[in-house]
Amino acid sequence: MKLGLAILAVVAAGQLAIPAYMIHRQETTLREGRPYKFKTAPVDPYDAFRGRYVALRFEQDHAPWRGTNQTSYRVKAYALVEEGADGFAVVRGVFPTPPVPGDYLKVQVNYAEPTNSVYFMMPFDQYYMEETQAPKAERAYRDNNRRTNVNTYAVVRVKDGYSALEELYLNGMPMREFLRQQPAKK
Amino acid sequence: MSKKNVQWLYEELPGLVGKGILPVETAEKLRQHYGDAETGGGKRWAVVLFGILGGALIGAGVILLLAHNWDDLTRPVRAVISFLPLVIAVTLAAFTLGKRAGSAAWREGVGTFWTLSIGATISLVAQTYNISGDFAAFMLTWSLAALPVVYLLNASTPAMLYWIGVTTWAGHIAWRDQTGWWFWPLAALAVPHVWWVARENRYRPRVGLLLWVLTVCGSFGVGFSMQGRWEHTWMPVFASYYAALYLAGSLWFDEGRAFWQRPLQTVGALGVIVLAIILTFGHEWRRLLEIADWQALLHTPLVIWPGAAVTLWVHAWTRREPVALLFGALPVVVLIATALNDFDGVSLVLMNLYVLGLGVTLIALGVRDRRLGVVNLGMLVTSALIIARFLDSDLSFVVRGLAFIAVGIGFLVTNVVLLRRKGAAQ
Repeated sequence: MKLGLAILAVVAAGQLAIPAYMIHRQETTLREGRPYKFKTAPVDPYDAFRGRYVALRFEQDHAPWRGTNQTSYRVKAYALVEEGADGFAVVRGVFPTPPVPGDYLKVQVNYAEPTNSVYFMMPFDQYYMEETQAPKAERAYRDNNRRTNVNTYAVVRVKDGYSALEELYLNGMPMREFLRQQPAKK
Repeated sequence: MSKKNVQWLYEELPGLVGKGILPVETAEKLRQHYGDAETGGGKRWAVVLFGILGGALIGAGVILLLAHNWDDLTRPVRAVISFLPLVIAVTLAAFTLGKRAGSAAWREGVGTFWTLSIGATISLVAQTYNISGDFAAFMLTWSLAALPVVYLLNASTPAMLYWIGVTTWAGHIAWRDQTGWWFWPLAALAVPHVWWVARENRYRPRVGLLLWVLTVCGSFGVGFSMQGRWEHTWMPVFASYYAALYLAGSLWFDEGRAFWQRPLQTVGALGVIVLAIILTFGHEWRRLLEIADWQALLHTPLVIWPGAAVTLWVHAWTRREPVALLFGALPVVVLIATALNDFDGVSLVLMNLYVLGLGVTLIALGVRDRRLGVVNLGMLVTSALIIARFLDSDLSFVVRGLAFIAVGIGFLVTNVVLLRRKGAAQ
């Protein structure tokens, strides 16, 4: 029995280490990572606010490929991120290996064009909301939306290729604060 | 011997002793040899099932309660709470190992809750930090983290959940980077548990349930492991997998009477029948042979299935079991049909004869052994073949008509013979 409990302790430690490592990595990135503002693309509110989370789509979804060999669908790659002149993040290029120097994100290639531009998927595309808040968010987005005017962006901390989504902003305000200020539905 | 059989024996003993067939001492020795036949088998089942359900419901309920107030909590608090399901599960597991190790209900219930809590904890952390993640990686991490639960608590529900998890992972990964064949070594990690549970009595329901889940997951695993790289080997690999299942079942699980005690034979037989009927259609062969490369199979890990099927089939010859030989022959028949390479003629006739032979043999053996289930299966196979040919536009009306008349005459003659034999017996 003692042996069984000892093995259980080792197994439990291993299992607890998984979420612990996830938390450690995210907290480190949130604390020490550089913040970047990624502009979100206008999305169909019905699709965006389905279920428990906001599905995020970003304005920039492709960039020049900087590798020597052609890349392909589902390949992991590294997107070099910089702050643009307007204060928002811009991906300058996609590399087969981590670019040095500079901040970069681990991305997944969606499509490689023959003209050497690759379409990629950001590693942060979900913003979790409590289920009853999601319909409110959907209404708020629709009520305030003229597609060209909506100022929505996600603040993401980036460090050593890891990213942590810090907050989603709607019209320059954190989403949850924006929702609190919305009048209750009659 | 199963507990049900032992119970039957105990019920018979007083009668046998009373009629002088068995001496009293021998009856007593039999009772001592087989021990107690628990009469509360049904109640034990209910306790175990309620234990599993209770564990699963508690796990789900905890998640829902946490979700209700989630948004009002700060991130550090949420991070700490995320650990709660797993911490509670580990505490319960320690209690079970220490104080309730002999209770199957506790082991299965806590094992189920522990397995689900691992996924719940990872999911809660992902929600707290908005981690999008890769679903396939999540399933693999969850499954591998949960595997030790199977052996620590000697619990079978976590094993079944593990196989389902690994199959789900393989399904997602197969379409992406063609490493779905890792399903097999991963699935094999939980197979020692089956051996451990079966070593005392391989016909207990727990073993049957484990094998049902394993064989069905394996059917998906065969497809996923070929995806993207070895799709052209699907015919020999699927044929070998189902044939090997049937042969293994007839070798090691032949005494099971109810069909749920024979998962290997049931899944194997169904797979062989469905696949064989598909291969009686000419256009299937033509479509597949355009991309077929049998020799390539020898250089893939999937060659283990034809190897297993052939080995078990050769062994079946020594046991001279006609049904096992017939079901196990599918990979060999497929190989011969392919080698003949005449898919408008001889090869197609060979496949049709194989299916017809299978159906008729099952009917004949079922009648001989008075097993209605086997007769019905034979009728089903033969009827399916008849319907398939009736609807097969590749054959002319004349050919179909003549073939149906011939087979119909055969059935009528068999009917007359059987009736005469039954009349003579009466």
